[in-house]
Amino acid sequence: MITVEGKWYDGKRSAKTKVILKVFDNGAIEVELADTGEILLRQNRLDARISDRLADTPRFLTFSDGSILETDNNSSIDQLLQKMKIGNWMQKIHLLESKKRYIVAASLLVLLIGAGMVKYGFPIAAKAIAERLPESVFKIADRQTLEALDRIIFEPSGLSIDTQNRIHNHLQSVINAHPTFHITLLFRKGGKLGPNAFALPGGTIVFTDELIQLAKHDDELLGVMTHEIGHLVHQHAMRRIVQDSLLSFAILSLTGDASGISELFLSLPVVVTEMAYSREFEREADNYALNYMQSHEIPLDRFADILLRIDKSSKNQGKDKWTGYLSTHPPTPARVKAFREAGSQKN
Amino acid sequence: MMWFYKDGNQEKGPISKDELMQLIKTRHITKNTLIRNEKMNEWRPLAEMMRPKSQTSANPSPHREPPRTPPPGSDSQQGAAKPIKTFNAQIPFQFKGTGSEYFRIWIVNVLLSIITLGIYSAWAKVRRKQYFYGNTSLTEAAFRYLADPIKILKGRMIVFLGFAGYSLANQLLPAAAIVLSIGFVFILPWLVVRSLAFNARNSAWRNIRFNFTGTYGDAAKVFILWPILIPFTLGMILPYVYFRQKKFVVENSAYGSAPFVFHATSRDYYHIMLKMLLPILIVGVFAGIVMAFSPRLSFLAVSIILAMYLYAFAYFSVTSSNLLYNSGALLKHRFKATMSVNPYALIVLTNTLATVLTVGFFHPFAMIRAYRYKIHHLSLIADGDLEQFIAAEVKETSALGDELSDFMDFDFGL
Repeated sequence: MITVEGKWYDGKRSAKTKVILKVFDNGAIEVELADTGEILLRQNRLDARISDRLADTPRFLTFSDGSILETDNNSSIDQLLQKMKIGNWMQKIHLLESKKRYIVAASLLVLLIGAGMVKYGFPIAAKAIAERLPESVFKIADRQTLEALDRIIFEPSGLSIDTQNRIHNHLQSVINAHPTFHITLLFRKGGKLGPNAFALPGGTIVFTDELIQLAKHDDELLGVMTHEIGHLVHQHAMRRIVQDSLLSFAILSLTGDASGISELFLSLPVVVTEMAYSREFEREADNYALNYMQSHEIPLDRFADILLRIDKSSKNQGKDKWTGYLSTHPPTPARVKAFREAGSQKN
Repeated sequence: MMWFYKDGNQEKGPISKDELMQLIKTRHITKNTLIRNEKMNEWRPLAEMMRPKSQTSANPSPHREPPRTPPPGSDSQQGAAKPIKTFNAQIPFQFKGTGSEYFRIWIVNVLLSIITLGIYSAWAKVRRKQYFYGNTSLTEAAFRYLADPIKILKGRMIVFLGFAGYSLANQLLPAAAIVLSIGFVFILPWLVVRSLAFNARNSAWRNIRFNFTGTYGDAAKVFILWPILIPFTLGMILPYVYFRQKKFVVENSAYGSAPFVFHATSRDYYHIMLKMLLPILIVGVFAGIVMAFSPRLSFLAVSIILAMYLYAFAYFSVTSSNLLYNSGALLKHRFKATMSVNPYALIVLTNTLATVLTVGFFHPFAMIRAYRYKIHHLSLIADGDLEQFIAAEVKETSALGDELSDFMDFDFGL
């Protein structure tokens, strides 16, 4: 015989009655009042829904008239289920949740899947999505990004029309070599961004005045241009937007109902991972520039030279504190080295 | 002990005893003013509440009634152990869940949800809720979450398809997306009502379900009409709108056939907002000045702003939650919430840091810590026994509204 102490609630009023459930060896059951032994219910065979085991939370036996028996005695209820050969797949879930080795295995699996998604899954998915987006999305993205940058950071270019035309003409060959990318070159005063160049998703490429002033030879700008076109060819900007959304979504669904405050802080791992993605993109763009310059016989040192000068100018402004893991670009010496070595091999 | 008084027909308070004495001194409260404290269930004129003249000063004290005989039923056992001197018995809510136990449930939930491409997430939600409910108890009776995972799954699928359709429309026909966004304004009240109803009706204690009976029209008023006015009043009306929303939620909720009542006033919410906004303004201006004059210190300024944000978040969670419970009542039973800002802010801070540093694996522990703190600072001030609640006829509700509001991270702050 199995006996289970519990509390009885009839479902009509909130009154609590202490009871004892007795399950006899022949399968018959009795529910009797704990105080007086008066029989509340008698069944030839237990006819009740038994709630699933969940850690050590109370179990509820729901009888057909809507009354329930609530008990903390999980082991007796499990014994009862075993005896009556009642079972469902939820018992397997409880088994998973209660064995240490399963928990360790599950943690490792989740970690592995998570890392795999971040390293390979999201980039692949983002690439596939970016390739399938309609042309109009890229156009809208370009317009909105440029409008925002113009409002917040950029100022109209201070370069003379002559200078602008000279650079345009010098870069025309590389633009013409990529007719499908709708490349538009724009000049802006970069302000805080200093010497810099940007490739927006839809083919708009922005050079800052500071970059032009830093260049000592127009071929250096050609190098920068091919690097930016590398971003366009690999659709980096759009892939990055998609990747970031996927990543934020994944972190949110993992942590479930994140409150406002943790969302704020959870953006930290997102930012760090984004930067890792970004460095990968820079390497790809550098490779593209390297190949293009080599095949068009543009001296590779030109790109290395301007990279060094950009690096030096940002160091002078004291912006060098956040290199390495917290940088969007690979370290400049490594980039320069790649170009110098490729250049010297050729000679 | 907090006090309330009536100004004309308006209920005011809660105020502290000192504030009350001040109001008596300044004659805002006269001997005919109706007052009560948080333990009393009826209003009494101030004159009746004064101690006999032999005492040196006018000093309100809890209204005394002859001690009651303990009501029948096993609930009274706690009270019966020590003879009931106070009017009411304070019964604490209890929580016995642990972080390591919940971690096991959470990690299995996450793994199975990934492997089944999200299908298991419906069962995961039920198991998560059941863990928190089942470990929460009052008078040794646990709470129970009764939602059917299949219903939740259906709701989730509809939300998912709907969102996919919306995104598609957004890409292809921006005009259609605008129409859909406007349509959403009309869906919102429905969503609020359905979500609250689904949660309430699937929550039970002592085999009696909770209920929510708010109507679409009332929800539209407090969640659409009032908020529309916020920009036109430069946000001045925001605390009032927030108050109306809380009032709507509480007063339409019921346990069985017993409705919840809400004693808070809009003034209480203005008080909270003011106390929160002033320091933010001061620190914000200070940080702005620091950043403007010394860009090198901007890292410091950003840290200050983050700390301020965290503190403001904790302050608002704690004070608004305390206010909500302390001004809520069920029949004659009242609630008492005694959370404090600093310990809660510390919990939120350590939780977020640990969650970030462990790439999310601390999350289940964080949930338990915050929840336990809340529950351990909540009690029911029972007026008599808790055996007399009567079940109400409850309609079945689909999970769609709840899933949609889950998806959009809609928080009712309860």
